[in-house]
Amino acid sequence: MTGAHDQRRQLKNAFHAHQFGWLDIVIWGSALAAWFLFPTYLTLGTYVLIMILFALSLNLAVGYGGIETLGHAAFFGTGSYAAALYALHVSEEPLSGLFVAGAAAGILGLISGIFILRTRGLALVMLTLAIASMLHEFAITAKVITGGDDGLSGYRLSPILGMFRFDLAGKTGYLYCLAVLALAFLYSRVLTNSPFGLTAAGIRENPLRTRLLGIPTARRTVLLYAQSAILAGLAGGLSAQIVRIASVDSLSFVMSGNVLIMSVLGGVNRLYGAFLGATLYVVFSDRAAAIDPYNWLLATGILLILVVRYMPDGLMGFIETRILKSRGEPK
Amino acid sequence: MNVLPLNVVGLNKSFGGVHVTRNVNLQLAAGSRHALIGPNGAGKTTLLNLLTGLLSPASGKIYVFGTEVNRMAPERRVKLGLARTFQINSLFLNMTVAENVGLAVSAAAGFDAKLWGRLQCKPEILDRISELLTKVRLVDVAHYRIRDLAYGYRRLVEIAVALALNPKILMLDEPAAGVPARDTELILQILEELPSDLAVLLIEHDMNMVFRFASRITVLVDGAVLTEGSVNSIRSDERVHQVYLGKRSHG
Repeated sequence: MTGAHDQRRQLKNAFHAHQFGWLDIVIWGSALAAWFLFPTYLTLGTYVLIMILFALSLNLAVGYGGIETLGHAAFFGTGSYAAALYALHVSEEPLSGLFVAGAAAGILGLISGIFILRTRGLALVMLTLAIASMLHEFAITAKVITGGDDGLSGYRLSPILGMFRFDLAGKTGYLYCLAVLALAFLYSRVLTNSPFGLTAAGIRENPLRTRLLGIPTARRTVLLYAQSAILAGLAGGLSAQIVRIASVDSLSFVMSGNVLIMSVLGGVNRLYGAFLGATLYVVFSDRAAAIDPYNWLLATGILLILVVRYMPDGLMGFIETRILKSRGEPK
Repeated sequence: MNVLPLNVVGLNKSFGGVHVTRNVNLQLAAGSRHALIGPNGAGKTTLLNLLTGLLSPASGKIYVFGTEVNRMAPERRVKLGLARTFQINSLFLNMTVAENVGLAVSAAAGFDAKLWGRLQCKPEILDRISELLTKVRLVDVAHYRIRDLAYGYRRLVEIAVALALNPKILMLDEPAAGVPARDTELILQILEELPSDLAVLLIEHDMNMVFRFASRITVLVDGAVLTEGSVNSIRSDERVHQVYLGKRSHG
C-alpha cells in the first residue's frame, strides 16, 4: 500500500503548481506597506493597482492562452463605461457597479471571442484591434449614452458596504482596489492550477495535439478569453469608480498598447509578472515625466528595449531563473 | 450483427492534381492487429490524417462503429474511440511526462474544462497516470519535461498519451522511427501487451516488427492498396517484394 502512496506523491510532484511562498508575502506585504509609507502617493498607487489588474487579465489571455491581442482596452473601456452608467442611472452602490462592469466585459469577451478566436496570429491581432477601435468610435459618436469626447462624469458612489466612504486622499480607494486585486489574483491562481489551466497550457503549446486528445479547443479558448475579459472589465470598473470619469481614452489603442508593454516588461506567462511590469511602467513613466516632461517616452522606450533584449521572459522570468540558478535547481 | 470499429470505403484524396489516396478500402475488426506498409510517399500518413479528421476526403466514406465520420471534427472522433500517435513526436514539450499523460487522462475523464481544484490532487487520476506510465515503463521519468527527455522515451510517452484516451481503435504512426535498435524490442513488447479487444493499425518500416506484431497487412503504393492479406501471403507476394521489401533489404 505504501508503494502506491509513494507513487502518488511522486506523480503529484511531477505537476507544476504555484505554491504559496515567500514571494506572495513580499509582494502583498509591500502593497500593503505602501498604504502606510506613502500616504501622499496613494492616487498613483491606486492607479498602479488598477493597471496590475488589467495586466493580469492580459497575462491570462496572452501568456496562458496564447491569444494575441492588441485590443484589450475594449474590455477595460466597456467595464469603465458600464460602471459609470450604472452609477449614473441605476445605483450608487459600488460593489454591484463593479459586478456589472465585469459582467459587461465578460459578455463582450464571450461574444467577440466566438467570432474572432477562429483566427490566430496577425489576423487575430487585427481583429482585436478592430473591435476596440469600433467601440472607441462608438463611444465618441454615441453622445447620448457615452457623453462623447467628454466621457461620463458627475456621478457619485455610496460608501463600500455602507461603511467605508471614498475619501479625497484615496485611502479607501487604494484598499478597495487592493482587495479586488487580491481576489482576482486568487481566482487567477486557482484557474491556472486547475485542470482547465493545464488544458489552456496544452492549447497554447500545441493546439492540434490538444484537439486530438478530444478537447474542443475553440470553445476552451473562448472560455479563457471571457474570463480574461471579466478581469479587464473589473479593472476598468475600478478606474471609473476611483477617478469618477469614464473616458474614451479607456478604449483607446494607447491603452491596449500600454498594458501590453506592462505585461511584456513583467513577463506574460507569470501571474506576478503583471505586478512587476505594471508597477515598473507606471512608476518609471511618472518619474521620467517629472524629470523631463518632453522626452520621457524615449526613456520608457529604452527601458522596454533593454528588458526585451536582456530578459526575454520579463522581469519575473529573470528573477525566477536567477533564484532557481542560485539554488542549483534545474529549470 | 457485429459493427466494425473502423470501416473505410472507397476513400479518395488529392492535393492539387496529385492523387495521394486512391479508392482505399480498409476494415479493422475489434482486437485486430493490422499493419499498413508501403514505400515512403505511399500515402500512409495521409490516410491516417484522413481517418483522424485532420484532412477531409474528396470522396468515399469512413465509418467508426457504424457512424459516418467524414465531416466530424477531430476532437469528436476521439470521443468515439479513435486515437493516434504521431510519426514526428507531437507532445507538449514544456510539460512534464506526468502532465502530458495527465492532460490526456483529464480530457478522457471530462475534467478539461474544470476551473478549480487540481488534477494532481485526485487519487483516481494519479493512479490512472501511474498505470499508464507503468505500461510504457516510464514511471521513473514522470517528472522530466519532455524537452529534457531522450527521443526514444518520447515515443513511449506518445503511446501512453494515446492509451490514456481509452481508445477502441489505436493508430500508431511509426512508433519505432528513430529509436535505437535495442529499444525497438521494448516498444514491441509494450505493443504486445495492448488490450486484446483494441483494434490496432500500425504504420511501420521495421519489417521485423511488422511481421511479429501484425496478423494482417495492407500494402499501400502510390496512394492505392496494392494488396491485403495475412503475414504469410504478404511475405510471399512477389509484387510486394518488388515495390517494397526488396528495396528495403538492399537499403
